[in-house]
Amino acid sequence: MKLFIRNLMLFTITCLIAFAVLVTIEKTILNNMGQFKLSMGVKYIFMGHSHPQMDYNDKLIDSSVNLASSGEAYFYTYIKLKKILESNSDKKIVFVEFSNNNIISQMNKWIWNDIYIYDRYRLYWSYTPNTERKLLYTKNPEASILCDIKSVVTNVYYIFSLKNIAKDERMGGYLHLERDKTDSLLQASLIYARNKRPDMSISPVNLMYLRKIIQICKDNGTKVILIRSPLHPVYDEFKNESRYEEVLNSQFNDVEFLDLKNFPMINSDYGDLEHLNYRGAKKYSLFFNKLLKEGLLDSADKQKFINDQMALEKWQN
Amino acid sequence: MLFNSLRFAIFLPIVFTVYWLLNKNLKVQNFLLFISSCYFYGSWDNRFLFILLFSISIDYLSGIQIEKTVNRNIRKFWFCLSLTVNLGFLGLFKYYNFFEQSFAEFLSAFGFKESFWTLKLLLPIGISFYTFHGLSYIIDVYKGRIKAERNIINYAVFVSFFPLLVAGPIERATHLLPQIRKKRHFDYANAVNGMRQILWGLFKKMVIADNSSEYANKIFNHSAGQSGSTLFIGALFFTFQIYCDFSGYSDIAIGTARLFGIELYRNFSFPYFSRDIAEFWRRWHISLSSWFRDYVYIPLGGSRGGNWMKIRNIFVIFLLSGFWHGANWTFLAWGLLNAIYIMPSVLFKTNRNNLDIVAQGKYFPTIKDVFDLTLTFILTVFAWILFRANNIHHALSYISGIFSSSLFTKPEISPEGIGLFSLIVLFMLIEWFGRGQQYAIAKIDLVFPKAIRWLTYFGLIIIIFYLSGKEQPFIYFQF
Repeated sequence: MKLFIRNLMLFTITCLIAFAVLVTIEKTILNNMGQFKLSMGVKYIFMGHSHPQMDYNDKLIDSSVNLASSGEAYFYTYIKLKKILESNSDKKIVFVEFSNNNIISQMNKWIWNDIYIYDRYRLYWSYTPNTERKLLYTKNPEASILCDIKSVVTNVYYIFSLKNIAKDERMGGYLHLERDKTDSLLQASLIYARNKRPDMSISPVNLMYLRKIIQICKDNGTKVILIRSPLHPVYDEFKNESRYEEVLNSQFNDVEFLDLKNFPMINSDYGDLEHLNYRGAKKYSLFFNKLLKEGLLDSADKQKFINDQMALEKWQN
Repeated sequence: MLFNSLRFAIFLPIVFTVYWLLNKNLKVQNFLLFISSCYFYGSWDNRFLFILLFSISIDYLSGIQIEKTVNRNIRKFWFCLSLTVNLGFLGLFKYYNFFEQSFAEFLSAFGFKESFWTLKLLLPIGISFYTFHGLSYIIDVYKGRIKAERNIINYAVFVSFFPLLVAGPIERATHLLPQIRKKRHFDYANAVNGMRQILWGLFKKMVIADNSSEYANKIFNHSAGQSGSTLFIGALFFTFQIYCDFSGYSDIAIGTARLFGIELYRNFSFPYFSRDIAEFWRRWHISLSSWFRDYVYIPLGGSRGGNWMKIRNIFVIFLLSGFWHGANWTFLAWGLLNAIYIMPSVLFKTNRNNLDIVAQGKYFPTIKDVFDLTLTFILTVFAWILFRANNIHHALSYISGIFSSSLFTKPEISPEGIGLFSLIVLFMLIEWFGRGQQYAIAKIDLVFPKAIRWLTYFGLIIIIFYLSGKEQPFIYFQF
């Protein structure tokens, strides 16, 4: 019995040590391999979930890069942004999407549900800080352990294929959306909306990570601006608008906020009720580029500046 | 509590440690096994526990009454009571709705619109397994083959021992009860063997079975319009899913029992390396096949008597076996097909031609062996289609879909599916080279030095974690 326990312990400890050594080596290699250095000319970074990913065509906005990624909660944006800021000493301006669905409790799932852990945590594994790792282990230990072990094997592939993890398409980047199903969705949503109760819940964890994003930007001397990108007027999550405004005014009143939700669009510019397709993204990105060029960031009242430009845009169309 | 869950990974070491710490007192040790088994079973649904305990109590009492009573009628009464309770529970929970619906459909075919009382009952997990434990015990006591167990804890452990409680192997009182009564000694080699078997079982279940199930489900659930080759691939995936799922479970159960110094019946013996269907049935779900052989086939006359009697007996046990698996016509059809498969070898008395291991002592089989193995395997694949299909119509359309001109087209299978297929081929190679053992990697300690062995175990653990598919419940839990 003693021999069995001893050998079992010895085997377990050997496995754990081998695992820890492997993890350390991989982390070191991947941290050095992951080139998060942005081009020198980049001044503006767009971060957030699928809304900005599909809305900002960075080829049409001068000196910008879109690093938003679908299904990304602030928790993962924070991990990614931290690494980007560490790798880029020149000062940038970071636009972080702050939309109605960014506050709801559904965001918790985007952080620690199995599917998100397997997808996101695995991707950001080599540079996830211990505090964030601990949170995942507390909330979903089974998936986190499994993901850690899976990551060790995946990373062997990254290392041997000399693949720059920062260039993995899941890290973010403008997504060209072809679809146009707004009309059919509108038809369905009108029926659906009648029965749906507004989701007034909030995710304190996700909001805490937005605060952490703001903080690391401040610590780094980087300007951070919250932004709400265009949304279809029938967008379902508008129902929590009062809660949204309450959160914005009470928790983030120290940060500049730009609201572009009412940017004039026609149905065929939307891929669905919350994402622009490539036509809408082109129209909106050109407009946003114009805003930046005409001095949006130097303006004293930025929202008025935007509203005036949007009114003009509407009138011109 | 699934064997492949974190909960079980915590539960098992705790029970194991406490169990061996109590080694000086057999009664306390058995009591611990009973309590742990109740906890294990209750973790699915506490209500199921009452049915299990009731069934245990009735069988325990009946056993004693049968033994101590000399009056034949009273003995018969207790025997019938036990059978009625056991089969009654099984019939009520598992078959009532099936019979009710089938009868209503039968009547509606003649124009009668009858609606009966449908029960919304949850099927208690593992009911078919523990019912068969109880039945074998009570039959053996009634026939005077064993003495009734006087210690209720011993008897309760026999029925509810957690490694075998929900999906077997189906044990016999003659085999397990003496082990429960006797003081167990910790055996290092046996415990290591048990751990190794658990590891191998987890690999089979989590890597091969769970991944295969994703492809099998996808193809079976959307079989309409699929090419014949894709349908055949789907059937192949299910063939490996069911084998690795159930034999993986059995490996974990047997390995776990070994940790407690208890030897369970072997349940699988490399069935896909069978040269005829009779050999397949000697290698597949051995504990159930032998149960039916001993308690149904032989009492019916077995292979004695004329051909008609043999034919009748074969059909009876295969139909019963099919029906045991579930209340669905597909299982009956599966049993019927297997009876048809095995019939020629029984009638021509070739059913005991292949009692040894294929290509024993050789690396490769002969051409004849390859032909026999392939033919048997393909017959089995087609039988599994009946087992997996949602209904008979689905099974027939699936099989007719395979036999279309598109059978020779390129199957629609993703690169991941091809990767899984390659892994299955590798797995079957390991099984082939380990086919003379209890399980494929049983004798690894005789072949490799410790460092290589440990590296192999470490590699297996990493593979299990890395390649494990979406967690699926064990298929046989539903039976």
